[in-house]
Amino acid sequence: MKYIPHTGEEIEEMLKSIGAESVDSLFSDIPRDKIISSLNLPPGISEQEVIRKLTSLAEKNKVSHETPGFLGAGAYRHFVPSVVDAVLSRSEFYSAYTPYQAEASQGILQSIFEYQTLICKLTGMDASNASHYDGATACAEAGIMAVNATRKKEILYSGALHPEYVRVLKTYFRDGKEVKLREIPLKDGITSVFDLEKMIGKDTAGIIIQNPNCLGFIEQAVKIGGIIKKAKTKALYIIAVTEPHSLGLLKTPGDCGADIAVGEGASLGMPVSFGGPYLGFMAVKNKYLRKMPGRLVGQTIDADGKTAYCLTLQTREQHIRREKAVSNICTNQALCALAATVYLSYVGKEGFKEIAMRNLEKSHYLIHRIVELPGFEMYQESPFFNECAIKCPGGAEKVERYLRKKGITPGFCAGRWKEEWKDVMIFCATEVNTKKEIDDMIGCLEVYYREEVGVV
Amino acid sequence: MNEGLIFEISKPGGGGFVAPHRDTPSVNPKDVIQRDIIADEPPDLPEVGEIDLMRHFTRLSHKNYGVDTHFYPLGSCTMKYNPKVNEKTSRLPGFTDIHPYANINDVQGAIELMVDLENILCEITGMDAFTLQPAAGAHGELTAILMLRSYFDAQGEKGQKRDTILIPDSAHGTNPASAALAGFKTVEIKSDERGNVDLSSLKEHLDERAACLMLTMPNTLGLFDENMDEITRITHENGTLIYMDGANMNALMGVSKPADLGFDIMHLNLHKTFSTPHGGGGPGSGPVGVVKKLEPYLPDPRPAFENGRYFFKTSPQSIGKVCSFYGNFLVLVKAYTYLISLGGDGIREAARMAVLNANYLKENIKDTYLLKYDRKCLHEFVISAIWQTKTGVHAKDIAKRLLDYGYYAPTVYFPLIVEEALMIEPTETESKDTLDGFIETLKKIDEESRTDPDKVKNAPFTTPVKRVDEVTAARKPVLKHT
Repeated sequence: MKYIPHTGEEIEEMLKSIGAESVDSLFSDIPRDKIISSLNLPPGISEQEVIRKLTSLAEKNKVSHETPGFLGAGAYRHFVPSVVDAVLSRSEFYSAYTPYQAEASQGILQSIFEYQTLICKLTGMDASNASHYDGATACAEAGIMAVNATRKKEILYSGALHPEYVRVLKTYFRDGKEVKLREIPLKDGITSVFDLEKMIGKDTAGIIIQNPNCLGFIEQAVKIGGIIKKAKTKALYIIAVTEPHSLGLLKTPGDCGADIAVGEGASLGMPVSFGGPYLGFMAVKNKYLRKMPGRLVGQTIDADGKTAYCLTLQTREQHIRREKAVSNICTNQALCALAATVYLSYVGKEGFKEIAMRNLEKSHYLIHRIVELPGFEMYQESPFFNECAIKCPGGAEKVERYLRKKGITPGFCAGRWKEEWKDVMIFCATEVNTKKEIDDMIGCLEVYYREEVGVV
Repeated sequence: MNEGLIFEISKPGGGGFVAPHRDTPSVNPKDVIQRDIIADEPPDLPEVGEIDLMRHFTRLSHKNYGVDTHFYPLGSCTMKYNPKVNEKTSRLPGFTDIHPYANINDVQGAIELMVDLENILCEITGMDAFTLQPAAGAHGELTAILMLRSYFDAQGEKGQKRDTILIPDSAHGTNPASAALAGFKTVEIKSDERGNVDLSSLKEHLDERAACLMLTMPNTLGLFDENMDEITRITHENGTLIYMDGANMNALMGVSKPADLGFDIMHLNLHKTFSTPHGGGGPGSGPVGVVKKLEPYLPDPRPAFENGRYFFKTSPQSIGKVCSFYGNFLVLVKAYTYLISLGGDGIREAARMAVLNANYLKENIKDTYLLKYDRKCLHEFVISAIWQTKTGVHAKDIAKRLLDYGYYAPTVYFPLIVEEALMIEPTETESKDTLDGFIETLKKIDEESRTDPDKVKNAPFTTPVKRVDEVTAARKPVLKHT
């Protein structure tokens, strides 16, 4: 296929107008010995051949909605209403650039303004930026922001912060070469408040707690907020949320006392897509507004006094401040932010709570049924939202192999994150799981126990 | 007409969404969750019926210029046509409905696509290895500079500390910002009167602290540096590596390979060069390519193929992860679709036609607008509105007036080394007729700037809103609906 509209005649005319003898001659500034005559790649193909090739690749993957599945662990399967893709498919949105020319970009600007408002409502914070690459990078940038805002050199993070987030944090901070990164131990599957209290010191810039945490358990986020406040530390309280649907039931990070809320918005209208594109969100209390990285859309007026929108507070950003900018972020995830805007507006206040309730009910039914089985027990007896760490008899990998043989996608083997969790599988159920699926899997686990573990 | 905010259309009980019915026993949250963390009320989201919601967002879309509706001569952004087949293939359930933690045997096709794409990018750039993980160009820059940090740390040059990155004054703002974020100092290198890197300025700063020279090639003036071989020679002689900001790769693909030119490490912008759309500001993708000696430092994990099986591998020297999972996978699907559609011949032809289009525009505009660097350009060029300022018209005004004539605006006031800059990149997908219309319009606006300057200064008039007051927006920020 080609997307070049020129006729041979036009090319000749254009060359004549330029005063060049050939297209090749336009490249004469490149050293001649560095010019190639062709690429060692197959020639172009027709659209139907392209689709055939991509379809055959896609068919080599096992589509998760075709099998009952219980995988979450930072990427959650949720239903995506048709309106979301209908809006995202409009090329006025997807084929546009970053809205630097405000007058020609009011559509995307207003949608980002709506997104910022929705994220503030979701997180209970004062101001949201226009998005980050994903939850993990938003979390790392929150850490950097805390260091810049407090001029302190230590970040404390929960031992149940998602390991992908921890790895990105370590990369951004170059393994703690200049800023120390310290892990807060867990107790009963959640952040140990006792240890946290001891660890907060005069060098602490930020404290990162994920809620619900990577094992699925709900943290004592309000209590931790109280402790941080009582410690009279300058450190910023950062709450990371990987499953925003939990906010249909739980107190907002703002109500827990957070200074910065970050997280993964992929659950809000994006398919799991092998990990991306997702949507990082970040929202802060007003006093940190000017330290926040990322693009911001503000409401203003036009020359006639009519309401209008534009990018604002750009003096924080790289294209103005260069090496002194608060971050290097430029392109982010505008279209994913639009997906979340449509999703949240469509499901609405009541719908959002109902979806959260379905998640709570399905996962509690699932976990309740699992722990009734001999040998299976909760990793810790702590409250959870839509996923939960389960200790499996025979080890998680054995359970994984068994369920896969039965055509079921099991939960996540947490041993892939930490050796000490090798017996643990994190089972997740959302509104897309049916009772029948759950019952069928329970049946399989019963047989598993009998055949593979029960008789010693 | 003003389009109200979605919150203003909302009415309690007016939502159209129906949640799936309950098929498992009901649960009272208070029985299973700590009471002090249960919210009294769910978030105050709008409640809008489906038809009003669709009309709201459709009307918003009408207030937006996209490539499908308008010519987008936005310099350094490569706003080429976004083929519809890319949208189709990236929505195949075999790509959208696979979990990042799925068993490796269930995602063989996805990893195969990634490996194939990396190979194609290696062939186009001459680099030895790529990572597809970075989510945007600036993210790729950060990834690359973190790798350089690890590389130089590992070299452990006795007592030497390479802590400085050299960046030309014509560079994108992300270059110095990324270097700073990775803990490097930056030094600005001047440009000479032909728009090349000033060799004496470069030599002056090529000392034992210089870790890397970051070059955009062709540079942001759309010019290929006439001293490229000399730059490479003296930089490498100093033990300094050379980074290529690949934002302008559309000019070189299939014509010349960055690795052959002497670059050691680079990033590409798939949302520019390979036409995965910009999405109104993302999601993008910024793969980083490297020569052999830097490969061990690439982010973990990397897709690989051995013994008939696709899998992910890791490296002990890796800088770690730069985002969750494997990057913006669906963007990779689009870039892959685009690249196999064009094929080796089509990729090369795209670069050639992009350069032809840019030169054609430049030659036909340069009598009307000052062309500071009057040379052959590659895929873009920079003119100045300095002649038009005599009547008080500025680059920004010309940009706004173009909106009235049905064009998106060029990049303005960048690069910083050209006063009143208008940076124009037509891309290969625009026809001669479109370019002729644009030339005629730019000439007309020049005429207006002499005969009716107020009209240009107050433009635009036909857009959904008139000139937007950005000063008030920054002075009293209103960042959400209350």
